[in-house]
Amino acid sequence: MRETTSMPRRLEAWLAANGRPASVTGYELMTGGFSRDMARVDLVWADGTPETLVMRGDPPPDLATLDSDRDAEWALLESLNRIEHLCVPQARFYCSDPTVFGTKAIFMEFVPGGSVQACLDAGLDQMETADRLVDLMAAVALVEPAQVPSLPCPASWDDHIDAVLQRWSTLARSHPEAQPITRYLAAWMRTRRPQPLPLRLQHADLQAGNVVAAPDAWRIVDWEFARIGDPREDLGYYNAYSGAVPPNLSQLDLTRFLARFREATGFSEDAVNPLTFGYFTVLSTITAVEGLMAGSAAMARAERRGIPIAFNTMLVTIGSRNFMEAVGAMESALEAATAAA
Amino acid sequence: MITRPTTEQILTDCAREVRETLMPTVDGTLKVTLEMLEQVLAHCALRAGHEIAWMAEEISTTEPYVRDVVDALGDTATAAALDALRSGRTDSLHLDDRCREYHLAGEALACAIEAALGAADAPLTRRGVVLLEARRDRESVLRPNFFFPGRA
Repeated sequence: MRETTSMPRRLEAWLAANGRPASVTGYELMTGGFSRDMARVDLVWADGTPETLVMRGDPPPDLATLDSDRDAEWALLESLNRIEHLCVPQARFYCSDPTVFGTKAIFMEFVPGGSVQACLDAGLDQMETADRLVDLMAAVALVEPAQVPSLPCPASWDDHIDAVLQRWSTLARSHPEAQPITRYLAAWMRTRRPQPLPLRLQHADLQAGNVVAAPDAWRIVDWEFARIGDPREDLGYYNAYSGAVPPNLSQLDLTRFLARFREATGFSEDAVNPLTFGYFTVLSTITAVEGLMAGSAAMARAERRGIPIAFNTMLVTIGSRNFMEAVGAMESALEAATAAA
Repeated sequence: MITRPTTEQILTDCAREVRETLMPTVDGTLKVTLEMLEQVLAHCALRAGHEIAWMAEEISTTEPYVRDVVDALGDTATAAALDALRSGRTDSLHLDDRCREYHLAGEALACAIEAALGAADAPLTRRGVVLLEARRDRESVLRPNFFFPGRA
């Protein structure tokens, strides 16, 4: 997929072999996809209709920064395209044979407009954007497990939280070097378990870089880490991520941010509030942190290489900072509440 | 052995070269890679200059805390980790030796704070958190001018 010279010819051959003859007029690797390789494919179909697609595949294994499953992502995209209230790029084709392009490859519609992150950098109104992002998070949190049957569904909320907490504990003990901060976070989360909510779809990497600001409707992209989970996880993940990649729009007016989410989802203030927001800021990031630390561990064992993996060692420490701040704020709030009582 | 310029100076200048000379000449995915490389070099420069001393400092502040947790709570896992740390102490200044000792101190600190939290011992938990916060603050120093390339 990274061989830009040969890719147009290989794409034309694959499309023709699958009954979709076209001329590929442009092939360009895209930035922005951090864990996956992505390319913009300009083509003209046999009837003369032009179209632009996004091709999405895996980097070579020894250069991979995070692992996820293209078969699962494709199955999920097909389900998401059938959910009317969700704005997601249309999935077009899938090549499940990794020998064709050197990777399994998903093809989907190219959505013009650039990411919301880029628009914010260019001066997009932050408060208005915060509202729109909350609406997108709520739209995801309204998707019930039965609507995305390809995703494994835990038997209960308790089972899900237990499993995530176990992943944190395992992660903290499996790195080649002791991780006292991660061990503390894992232990702390066991002591501060929030009240349950119904299990729902969670994108698990929902932040401004993964929303395309198309003129007609903003689209959520990069669903590779999506799972069934607690509907507050995307809220918390946004806070954790945007603490590292500003602006963090949840902090403009957290009361408003959470109230809007409650209004759109129907969840109560007992369940969605600054304390649970802090809790899920930590808990929700398990998949990302696992991936980052797995890459670092593999580099320490000389099994993986590359500048992005070296760079990711710094991201792990940014997570530590943000999580410690979230835990500290939550503990302070609890102490204040206890004193007031 | 030539020690001047120091490793820190050499890596810092390599980072500058990437930032000022190479990055303006490229775009797209290559620019993102160079933006990461520049930050990795700056990070490594700081580590090269200070990491042995910083590990030694953290180890020296960790051991008394772990000892107090063992004395107060009698936690067996923490006691074992403290024994491992004490038997693993080294005067060697080689980086791998220091990393091994730092790992033992980190394991002991992790066990101690888990024990304190499990026992709901607020003062000992707070002391452990202060040590973690110091570690976190030092990690922040190692990320000068951090930004996330290519995320727009």
